[in-house]
Amino acid sequence: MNWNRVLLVSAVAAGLVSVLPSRFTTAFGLRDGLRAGMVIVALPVQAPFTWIIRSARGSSGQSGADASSAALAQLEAQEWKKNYLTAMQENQSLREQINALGRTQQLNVSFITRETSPLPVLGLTDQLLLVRSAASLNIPTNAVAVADRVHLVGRVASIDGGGRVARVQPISGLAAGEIKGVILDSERFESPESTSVTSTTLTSARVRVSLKPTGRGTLSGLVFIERGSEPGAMRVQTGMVVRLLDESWAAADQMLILGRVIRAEEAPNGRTVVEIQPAIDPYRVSSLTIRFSSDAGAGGSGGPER
Amino acid sequence: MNVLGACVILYILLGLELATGSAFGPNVVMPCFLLPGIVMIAMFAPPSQARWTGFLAGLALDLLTERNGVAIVGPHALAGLLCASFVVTIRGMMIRRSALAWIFLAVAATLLAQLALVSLITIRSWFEPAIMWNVWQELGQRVLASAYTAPIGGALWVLRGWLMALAGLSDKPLRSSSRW
Repeated sequence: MNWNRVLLVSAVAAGLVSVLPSRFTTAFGLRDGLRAGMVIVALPVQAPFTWIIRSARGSSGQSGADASSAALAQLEAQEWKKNYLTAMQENQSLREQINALGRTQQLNVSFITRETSPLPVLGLTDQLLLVRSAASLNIPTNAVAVADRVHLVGRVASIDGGGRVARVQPISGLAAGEIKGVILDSERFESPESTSVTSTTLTSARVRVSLKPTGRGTLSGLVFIERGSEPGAMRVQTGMVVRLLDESWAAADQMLILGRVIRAEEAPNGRTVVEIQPAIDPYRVSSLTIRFSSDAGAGGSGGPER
Repeated sequence: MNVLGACVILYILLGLELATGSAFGPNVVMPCFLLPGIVMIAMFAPPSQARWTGFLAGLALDLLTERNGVAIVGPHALAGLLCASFVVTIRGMMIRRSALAWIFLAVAATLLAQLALVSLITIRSWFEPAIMWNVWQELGQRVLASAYTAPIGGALWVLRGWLMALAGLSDKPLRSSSRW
């Protein structure tokens, strides 16, 4: 056998294998077997030398391999920290939702109803929110859209695309119309930026409000006193919580949060005028939950009794 | 040439090459150990054996190293073959007993081998970006590594008596080149 020729052929083959991508050479199963064998063969001589070199270097410096491992570990630590903070934030948000649900249920015993999981908001068209839905959800028109489970965003105006897209009319949109609410004396938002509510009691004094969209993302209207209540028993202040209390909405949706009082002024006629702002801006939410009664949903396109 | 003795020498040099690479990491300029060993054998062995030695030693290194998880078989083998061929070609012009000749050949042959290696892996990186090959950084690092190889050539010259006896090499005159 001409060994020079064999070497020449081997060199050409090595040249081809060295430039061809792995996907073309994985078919040669021999390579992995040879690699495994060579690792075992080289280990007895490699390991002692590695140990000697590392021992000789001692603590004089971090080796390149160690440095790259440390950099990798640092990246992993940052990733875990991000995940931890995300989980903490989610935990905090869920706690707030549980508290808010508990308070709302205290105020409205029939609050619990059928609702979807959070649905993504796709965008905005004609001042209506486009929400991704599914035909299987059977969301009816007039279903109620909420954010963070208790913050009223609006009503489903129509269902398009065979039930795949729901158009939601936000309560602060000009086309939304009048909505009535209630302000409880002892309820406040924790802070001007917070969506959490503190100190709800069932025995507090309260006043009713009739609100209309202003076109500036807020709602305003007159405060009126309920029949039987004592005039002047309660003074409306900024930061107070306004909840839904409107006979034209379903019983299960009463006491959903409409927003916070941002302005309360006395009109020349002695009546109090308030302006409220939704605690969660309907036009900036990324996902919504749709609430509707089970019997209404089962019917497909029929709306709930309101 | 005593094949077994040559294998033992190259095996130890291969271990040193892998150990330094493992201890210092991939982005550190380190001298080469295996290529000066190939140079030493190529200086005295018959041409065919010298080339086979270079090719197989390089292939062993190929099989034991990977880059970003991608095993690249071939570049070291070809680099080793080129290194041995280069030495076989010019050894007739060298005073083979001189330390300077050992050092010069170690550096020059390593440089040539590294250039071939960089060229091949650069071509490979065009088709396989996962290798993440920075040509100029690698070239600079490997040219410096060739210069760093000079002490290894010197060390082998110091140990030449034992090493040549072990590998069954003699410094009697040989043909400077073979047919290809």
